[in-house]
Amino acid sequence: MTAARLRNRLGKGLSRVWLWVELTATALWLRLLLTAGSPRMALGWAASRRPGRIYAGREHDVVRAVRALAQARPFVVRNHCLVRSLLLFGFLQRAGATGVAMWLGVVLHHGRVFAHGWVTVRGVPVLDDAGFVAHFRVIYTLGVAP
Amino acid sequence: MTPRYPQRDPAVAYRVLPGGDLVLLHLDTGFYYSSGAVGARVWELCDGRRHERELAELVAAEYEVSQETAATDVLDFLEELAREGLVRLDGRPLAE
Repeated sequence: MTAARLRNRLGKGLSRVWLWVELTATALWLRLLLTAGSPRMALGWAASRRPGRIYAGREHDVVRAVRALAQARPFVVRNHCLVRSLLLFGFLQRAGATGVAMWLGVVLHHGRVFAHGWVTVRGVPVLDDAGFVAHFRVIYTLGVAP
Repeated sequence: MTPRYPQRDPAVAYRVLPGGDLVLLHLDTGFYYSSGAVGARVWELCDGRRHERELAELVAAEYEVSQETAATDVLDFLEELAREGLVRLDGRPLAE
């Protein structure tokens, strides 16, 4: 293996580790923000993410890492669709993905409100089933024209 | 009594569902609220330009109930919305 290839591999490995570190820290931060602050503050955080060099073109890595984080037990993202959606939205923005949108939807069932948050990339739900999210009526969006 | 002009709080996201029910999401508290079709109509009318009596008159006419009943119910509903921070009851109408 040449030095350049080794450096490249090491670089990729390191940036993957860094993605995990940053995702985990951000997930904790978002939970804190939602507990001590407000959903508006957390949504503001996600909306202010801009494409960054470190994650450029790494949409798949981001989705994979968020999926793994959401499946980890016990962890703050598990069963928390809002944190998962905020993470996906924010980090996909940083990866420079186009057509990313975040949706909050509601449905009434026997007088009770059920809510769900999800993310789409170019209209396709990410880490969510299209049939499931179709049950919800959108109440709030990020990343799309109102 | 000074007339009050109910205005929807901009921090509230809302959606009227196909059956006419209303769902509100307060983005500052994260609480969801729901209401029936009449509540949805009152919510729609809370544009900061109509005073609360006017709202009650409209509701009375649209739902064919007495002015007194409409006034009591609408005012109670507005008070509840205001308590939850979903509407502001300003003493002045919103400027055009």
